Amino acid sequence: MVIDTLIDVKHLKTYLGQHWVHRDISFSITSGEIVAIVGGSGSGKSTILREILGLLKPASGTIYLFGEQLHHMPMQIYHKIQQRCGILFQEGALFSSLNVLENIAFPLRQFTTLNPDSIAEIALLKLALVGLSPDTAVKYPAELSGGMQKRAALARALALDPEVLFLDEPSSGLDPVSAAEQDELLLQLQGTLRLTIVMVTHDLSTLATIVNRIIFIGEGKVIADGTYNELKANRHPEVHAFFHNTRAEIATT
Amino acid sequence: MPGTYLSIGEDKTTLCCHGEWTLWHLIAIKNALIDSEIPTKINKIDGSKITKMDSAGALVLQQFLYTLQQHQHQPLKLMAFEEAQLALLKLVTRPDQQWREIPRIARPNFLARLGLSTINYTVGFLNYLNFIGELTMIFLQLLRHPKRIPWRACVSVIESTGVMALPIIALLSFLIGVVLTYQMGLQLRNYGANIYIVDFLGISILREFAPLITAIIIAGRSGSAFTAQLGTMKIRQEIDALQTMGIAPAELLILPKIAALFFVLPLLTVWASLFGIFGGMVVSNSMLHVSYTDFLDRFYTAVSVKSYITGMIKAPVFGLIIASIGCYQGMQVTGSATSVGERTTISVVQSIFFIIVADALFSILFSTLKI
Repeated sequence: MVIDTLIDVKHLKTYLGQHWVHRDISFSITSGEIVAIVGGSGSGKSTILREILGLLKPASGTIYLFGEQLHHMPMQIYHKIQQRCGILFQEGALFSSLNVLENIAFPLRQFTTLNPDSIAEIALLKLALVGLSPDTAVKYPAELSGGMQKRAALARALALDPEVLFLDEPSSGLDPVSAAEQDELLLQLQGTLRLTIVMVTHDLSTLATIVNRIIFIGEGKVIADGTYNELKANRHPEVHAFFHNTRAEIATT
Repeated sequence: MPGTYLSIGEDKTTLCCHGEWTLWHLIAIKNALIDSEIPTKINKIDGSKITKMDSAGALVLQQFLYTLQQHQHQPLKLMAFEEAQLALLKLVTRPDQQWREIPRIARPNFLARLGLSTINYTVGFLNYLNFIGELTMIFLQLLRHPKRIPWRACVSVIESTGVMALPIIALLSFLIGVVLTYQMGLQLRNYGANIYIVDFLGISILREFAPLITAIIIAGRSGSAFTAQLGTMKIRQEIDALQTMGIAPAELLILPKIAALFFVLPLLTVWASLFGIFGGMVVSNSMLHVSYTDFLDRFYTAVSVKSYITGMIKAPVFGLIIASIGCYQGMQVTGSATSVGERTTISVVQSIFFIIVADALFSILFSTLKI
């Protein structure tokens, strides 16, 4: 059975730190899309991601993942769904007590019964995919630069060949060259693995080049939902300001 | 005969791949590749029956093709693969197969490790002395500019390490008093020397147990907290931020902690003595029939102020040991969360170790001075 709607968020309301972060958020994401959730600082973009990942429970509203309602499905099904999702956290969130290879191998060790050699092989492949040299395999996260940590974390997110990849600020802390390479890699993976990518980002060049669809969050609601060009033409003051400022003009010309 | 993942075509030159070539079927695929006997004439690979392929599956296929290529000298042809699958195969192909090797880290031999740890301990000790020296300099500077003394920080540390520790220290000291009296009472009762429990309790609790128990509790409770707090601040670059603002981290973060424990530990020791003696009194009354008034009368004559003072001399020294080791280990944290855990462990173990060493030294000192 093919489920086309991978993620369905309905009437999400969130109350955090004495105020309503989300008043009414609804959107759905279909298989194969590269979607960016965009909005100003404090608009609750990352919060939505945390809610979809089940790290935070919304005040009300429902979230469906692969057709199953979050918080209402049996644990076993939830674990299966978790294995179909790869997550890249903003700071990488690599386990500091494991070296890079062990970090990437960790999900493989947990969820597959492959022998150590096969696991190492797959982990090294992911390492090569994200553009890290084999020397980094035996290094610990603390020995790596921020950008390298991020790449290693992306490799870990890709370890189980997930169907959906969640990225929180994927290009923050990367130099423009690495950021462009990462965009290229994401596009390649999306094409070859039919990956669905959901990201929270501010990076206008990422938005302009690889993202199919942008969901703009503001005032606790979805203000705009469409392609880059549609949003660029949007007349809402917040959306307009996001796409028409000096930085935006420079970045996309 | 078609297998689940592999079969040989009619013409004996085509190898057909079937089914899901994904991570979750990888073991079965690998087994199929090992078990199947591949005719040497194979020159075409048919991918039309692959329903799903991910990068792990592609990797296995690519490696298989690579080894196959080594054995036969004619080029292999891939047919009926989807565009995406070909792209994926290309993605997992590396020009040389070198990247499959994990670099090995050589483990030094016993002698090298012994030397390394000797150097590490020596350097660690020198660093500690350096740390103490630096603190002393900053302390002296602060004395010349009393306006800069961070009183608020001191008071807040006194609250968290002293005031908040009162209940747990009271409870544990009381229990120690109860246990000591019970154990000794059993012996003293045999000789009818019940009243001497007061001498025993007074001297042992005031001189030894109260300072030691207090110091050990504070080492576990506050020394570890100092290390974890400073270590986390160091990882999160808060220490660097302070330094760039021209504030020595020692001045704002470390000295207040050391000063606070220097004052707090004697006070807590008095508190611990009180409750230890009180615990002893309660058991003496019920088990040894030494009434509260008899106990206090005897206490007044049997226990000299000297015992109290010897206990009180030790306490501030213990405070200095705990705070300086806790802060020093906190500043030694590097990089990762693991390091915070390691340093916190070292901090508590070293604090308690040096408290007991210092206590032994005090005993020798007091006995030679005949106190």
